Amino acid sequence: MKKLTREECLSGENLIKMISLNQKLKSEEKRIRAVANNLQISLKKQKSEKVIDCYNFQTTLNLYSFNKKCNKRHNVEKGDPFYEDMDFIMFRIRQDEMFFTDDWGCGMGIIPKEDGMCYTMHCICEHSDLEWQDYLDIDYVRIELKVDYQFFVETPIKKKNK
Amino acid sequence: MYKRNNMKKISKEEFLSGDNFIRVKSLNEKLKKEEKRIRAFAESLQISLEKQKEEKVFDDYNFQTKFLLFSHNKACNKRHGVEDGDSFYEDTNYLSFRIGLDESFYKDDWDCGMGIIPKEEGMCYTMHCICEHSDLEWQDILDIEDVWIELKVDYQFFVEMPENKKNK
Repeated sequence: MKKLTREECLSGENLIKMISLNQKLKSEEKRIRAVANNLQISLKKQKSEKVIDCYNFQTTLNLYSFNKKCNKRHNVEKGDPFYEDMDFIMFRIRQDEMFFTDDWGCGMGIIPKEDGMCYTMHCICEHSDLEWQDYLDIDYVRIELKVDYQFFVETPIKKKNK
Repeated sequence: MYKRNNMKKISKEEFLSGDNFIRVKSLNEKLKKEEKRIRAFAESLQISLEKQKEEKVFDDYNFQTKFLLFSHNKACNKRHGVEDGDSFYEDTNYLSFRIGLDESFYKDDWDCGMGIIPKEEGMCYTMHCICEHSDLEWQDILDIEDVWIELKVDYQFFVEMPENKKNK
């Protein structure tokens, strides 16, 4: 199969699709940021009030496609993500404002300057090893805030001389 | 495993006598208390998750529970091939604290005739999972120093592409 070139990915309907994906992710970032901030404030409060003993907060990004060829290329079944970013460090409280407002195009020229590339789109295009065709095959993006609410039980009798 | 370490296995009788027995009963009592604390939290959490999903604050969620056992006992960690600070046992099939879970999970005696915890005290469900759902030995149960119970929630957000292609 002939590889899609950068020029083909960034022209006509393909470019419209890329711009649309970026726009949708940018809107979603705003929605998630509000939830994530409230959630982390609540987690801190619950911990300080000893409602919970501790917590973990992580974020992940998963890409899905219903395109058979795309799933075959990545050796996954339909319904499974063809790409997973476990280093998607986003939506932390006190994260620098630039993550939500800057143009993350970084000179790659994928998204027009006036639109500005959002950080999530930047992670998809620049932190991954995905090909141009993969971007166009994205049908769903799933962003998860993963929280572990932790409770500890310590046994009262600790042994000596371990 | 024990043979390899040239260590005599502890018998059930040794496990259920003297200080060992006190230790086992104490663990059960602590877990029973913790179950009450977690249940209250888990139920209000799940009510809140359902409400937020309905209000489209997020698109969906996963709710899972698991527990982990830790020991600082070198021999125990060696037997299980883990480093100090890592859990020597993890139960990811620990289906507790779901809303609507039968009351029997919190009230019944889960000793199931094993005779570990006296009837008047009653074995809690978490202790039952440790003693009966696992392949742990008596010595492992005595070596437990910390139990972590985790409620794992994934708050999910979906972005769908409008240009979803047909005929795939």
